[in-house]
Amino acid sequence: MDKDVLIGIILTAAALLTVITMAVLSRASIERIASDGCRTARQTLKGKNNGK
Amino acid sequence: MASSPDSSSNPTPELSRELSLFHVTMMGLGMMIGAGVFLGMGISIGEAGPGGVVLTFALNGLLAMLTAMSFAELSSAIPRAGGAYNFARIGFGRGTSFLAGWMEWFASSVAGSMYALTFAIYTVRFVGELHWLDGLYNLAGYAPGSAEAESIDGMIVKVVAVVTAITFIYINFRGASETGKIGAFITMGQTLFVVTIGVFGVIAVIKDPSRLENFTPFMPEGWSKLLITMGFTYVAFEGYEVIAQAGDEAIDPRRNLPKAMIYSVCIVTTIYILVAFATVVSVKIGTQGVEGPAWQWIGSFGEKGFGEAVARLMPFGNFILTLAVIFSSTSALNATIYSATRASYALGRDSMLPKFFAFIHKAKNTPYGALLATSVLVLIVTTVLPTKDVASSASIMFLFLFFMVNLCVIKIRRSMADELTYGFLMPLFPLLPIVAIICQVILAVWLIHMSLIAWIIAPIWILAGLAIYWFYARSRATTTEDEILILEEQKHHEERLEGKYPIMVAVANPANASQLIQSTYRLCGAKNAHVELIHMVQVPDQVSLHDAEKYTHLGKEGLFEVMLSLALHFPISTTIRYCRNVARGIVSAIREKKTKMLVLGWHGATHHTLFNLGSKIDPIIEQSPCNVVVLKGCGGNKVFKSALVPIAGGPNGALALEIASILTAPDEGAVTAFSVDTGRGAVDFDQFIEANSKKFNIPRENLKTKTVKATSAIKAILAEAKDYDLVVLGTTHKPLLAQMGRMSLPEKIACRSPKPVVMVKSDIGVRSWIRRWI
Repeated sequence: MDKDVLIGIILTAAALLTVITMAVLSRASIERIASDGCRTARQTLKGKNNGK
Repeated sequence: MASSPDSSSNPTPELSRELSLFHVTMMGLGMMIGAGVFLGMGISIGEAGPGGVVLTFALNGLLAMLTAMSFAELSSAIPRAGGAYNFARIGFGRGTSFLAGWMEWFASSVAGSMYALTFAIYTVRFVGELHWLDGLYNLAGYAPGSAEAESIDGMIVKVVAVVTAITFIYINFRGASETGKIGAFITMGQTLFVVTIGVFGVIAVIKDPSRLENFTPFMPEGWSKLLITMGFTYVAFEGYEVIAQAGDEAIDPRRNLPKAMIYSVCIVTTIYILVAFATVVSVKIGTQGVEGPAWQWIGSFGEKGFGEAVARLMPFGNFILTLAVIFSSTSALNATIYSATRASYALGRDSMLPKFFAFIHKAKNTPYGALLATSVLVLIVTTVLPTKDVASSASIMFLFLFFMVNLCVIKIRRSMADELTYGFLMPLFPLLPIVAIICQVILAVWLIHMSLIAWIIAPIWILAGLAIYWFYARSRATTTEDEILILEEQKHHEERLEGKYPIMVAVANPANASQLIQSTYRLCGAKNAHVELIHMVQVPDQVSLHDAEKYTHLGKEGLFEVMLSLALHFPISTTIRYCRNVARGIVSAIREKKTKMLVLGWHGATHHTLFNLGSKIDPIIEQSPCNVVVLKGCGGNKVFKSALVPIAGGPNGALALEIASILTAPDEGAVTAFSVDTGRGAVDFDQFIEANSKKFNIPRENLKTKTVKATSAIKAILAEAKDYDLVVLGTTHKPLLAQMGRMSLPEKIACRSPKPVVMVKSDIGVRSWIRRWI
């Protein structure tokens, strides 16, 4: 197989896989933030709600 | 609690929240699956070759995902209509927001022109295939299919595009904009059609694997062409801006808007890769009418290449494709005219453009002034510019706009992390937006190889925007409640302050003022300072800003007390401001007044679980672009004869030594630099002082050094501190929001020390910050 074709296939697959992985992880993160009831960025990053 | 009569008597009108996750995702997809892919596919195959076109859409999808994450985070925190204009206003203020609105207006208008042209190109192509235009060619004396006939086609395309644009301008004037719900089903149809093309492509390859030979050569024009085609087709991923605009109408927007943005990018990336693959394999080399390599044959049709390829791939391809283009282009055209009108209307409403832009038609209730201006822009671009330049101009402007949004996400998370409610926080912050910014700049620059005209128009538009802002909008723009306003300000003449070291002292109340006076006096004397006393009045969100003045009483008293002690010795300016967040207000004042050192008091350990030192102190230390000195228990007439300065080797330690030498008694005071060897080696004090002597004034006369071996640095320092009058600590530099993690060693010592404590943080500058961060 031509080198360019191989690189192209790998790059395309990697890009698509990364996009899908990011989407899946982001969805999980959104759900986790929603269920934790966290509010500000500091609260979310610390994983605490602090009763607010 | 007091509230303004206005707010209680006039309920704020709100749009009803009816758009679900499905609807907003479809809104985004509707904007994406349109002209960008229909026009861009053929041109991209011609430019980058068969492999290049697939890679173009794959890599663009990845880049679009990075920016989608920025949009998702911002939309989850600021779920209001306005999109980039809103984000820029909150992140950077009115100047940048004007530029964002100005660019958004142009980008949406040009995208509208592109959709009108796409509609016209594919409609004229379809009508031509049916030989309905032959009569026209004969009338002009040209043979159908000749070069002259094609020039007539070009003119017809322009006429049809203008008529289409005018039709949708009129529809927008009537106010009959397509709703998200109806649009969702149209988008479903578009999406299904495009997926069908991909499926037909895969079936064609399964039936005849020799079609895969169309991918040879893979990148005939070289890899650099990728950058051109990526920039050119980037507009095909522009859909999250529309989703961000739905903030007022979406159900559970903090959850659904980020999801919709991320889903839509994920869906279109998959579909585009599939469709690019199908387009390349759609023609079989050697069949009737196909000459040369498939990619060259498709590319030779330019913007019509996609249509020519699809027509050979599936039955009724021409007809179905034309229907799909009609649906997708018209719905996108309607949405872009609406979006462009809304952007220019917002600028007019906020007095950044003439009032004409904010005129609302009494009967139709539509912003006809902004619509008229948008129409002029759309029609000029449609008529004058070639299709490739129109698409390039739209892509460049969207790249610049998204570049700005990526900057906004960094700025807003840094400065408002404790104020905004986030429904989504992007991972690897701020790496992802920085990567997106770099890629967007590269793509925008590379587009010069695709369209020089676009690269002339885009900077001219931006420069025109800057000029309009500077000469017109700056002085007229209306104030929003997000901005920090000055209540009272007493300034000194500038000439008296020349050469003075600007020190800002944040005064909260009389008790806090008495804590600050003595140390501030010493610091100001040593630095030959000009003192800027500031009191920030925090007004709760529920209280009208008109009532802010009643909160100033304690602050005025505190300012007066400090003034009495310092005014005879140093030039003093005083400022009282009201704000919604004290930390942000102080950081903003530091930037504005170019302060070099901030002095503030701290009452001691906090019981807050989220903050290490306090909800105001933590963000101020993290974000202040100057040296910061935090005083705890330094009030009264205390004389510090001995100061302990724990050193770990960072730049804050050097500033701590300088501050300790200033705060200890001039003649009899002694400063001890203290290092704890926990097994990882002790600090070489001579080398440390030598390395920092240029930036910091560290007198060696009264300086002692001491190193002890211990297993716990905290215990060793606290034990040593008992023998001293004062402990001066440098804070720990950490990247961005990493400070939000556990309490650092200096913070633990500051909280536990029974002796007066001073915490310092030096301004390490942008280059040092980047080096440390990397």
